Amino acid sequence: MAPTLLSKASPTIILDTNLLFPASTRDLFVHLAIGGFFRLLIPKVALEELRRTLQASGVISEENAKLIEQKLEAVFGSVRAPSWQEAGSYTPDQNDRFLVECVRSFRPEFLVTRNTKDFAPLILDTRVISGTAFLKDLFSDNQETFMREISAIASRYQNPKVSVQRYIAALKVQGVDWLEQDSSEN
Amino acid sequence: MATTWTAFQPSLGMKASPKKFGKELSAMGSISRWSARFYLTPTATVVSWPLLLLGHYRPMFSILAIFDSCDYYLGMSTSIVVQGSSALAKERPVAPGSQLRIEVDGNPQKLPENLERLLLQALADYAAGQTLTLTSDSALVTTQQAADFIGVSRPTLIKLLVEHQTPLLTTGKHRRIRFSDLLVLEDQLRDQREVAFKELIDVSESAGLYGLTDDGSNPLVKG
Repeated sequence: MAPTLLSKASPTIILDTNLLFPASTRDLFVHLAIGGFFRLLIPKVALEELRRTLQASGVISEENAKLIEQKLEAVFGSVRAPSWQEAGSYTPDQNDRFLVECVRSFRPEFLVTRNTKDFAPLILDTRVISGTAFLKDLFSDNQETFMREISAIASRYQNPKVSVQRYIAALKVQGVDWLEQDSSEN
Repeated sequence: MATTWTAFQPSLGMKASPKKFGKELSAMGSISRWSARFYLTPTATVVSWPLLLLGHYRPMFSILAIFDSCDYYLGMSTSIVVQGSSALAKERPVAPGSQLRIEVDGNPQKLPENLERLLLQALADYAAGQTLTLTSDSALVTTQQAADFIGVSRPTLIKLLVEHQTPLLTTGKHRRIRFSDLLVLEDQLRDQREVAFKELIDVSESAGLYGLTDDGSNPLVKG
């Protein structure tokens, strides 16, 4: 009997808007998803929220905010919950309702957000987890692999070039603070 | 030497994490991955072969090497593809300098050098949390299986198949995709994503997004 296909074991995650900024953190998740470490679902509403917030905060111009949204969507597309559903008791914040809707529709293994306190720890079977905790769990005991990917991301930056140390420093500011101190320079 | 695969059959169709997969294999006595010992049994008895794992980056030269090697033993075209890391895998890495020992009915066997290298790399990557797919190149998969493999919804997969002109086979009322064609599609998608990601970084660099967060502030995080 010919062998058939094994199911994919990589977890599926839904990423909250607040991990799409700053760009260093966003790139980390996008890079790892392209590498197949997990399947990344980005809600369309999160992309729109990112654009609006970047514009409103004056971080970048309206034109660039739109471009960022478009380019980000070009990498992995985006998902929409097919129908409105009650957020119920999973989050007190109605602005986060779209995430609960997506979780209910797509049933990922993880909802990854910086605002874990705004959600119930578990939405159906989906675990709500911070970005740092997710990465730490994903690469626990395998930090060598993680550092290899970090180096690969840093090498993507050309204008200006960014060293591995500089990239790690940027991540640490954002809370990814469990990285080894002695990682080598690019 | 003609061989057949049987060792993986109990796992087929299951969601296989390294932990689970390793446990099943060990229970069958087919592999003790941490001592890097494989057993290859001749025809007519159970064959626990091959169990190869590659890095998630899936280097093409390795895949080709595996084709050669598997053909050598199996007389069939075979793909072994690592699909990415399993979440929360907590396995110990294979120590550098590990050696592979293959036995057939207790007798040590010499593997082709490229296959031995691949297996060792595979063990290290497996230990690092990678997971694998083991399938025949000629296997036909359903559109749902293909969607799961690519990591998209089924409607999205159908759209991608049309866009990329991936051959679809029809068996009765059902549509099937040859696994080798699915691998081609996966490569094309990965290339597309890489290009799109590069453009995203270019735009972000032009917009000065990378220098704005040294103080840790994030306008998207609630106070």
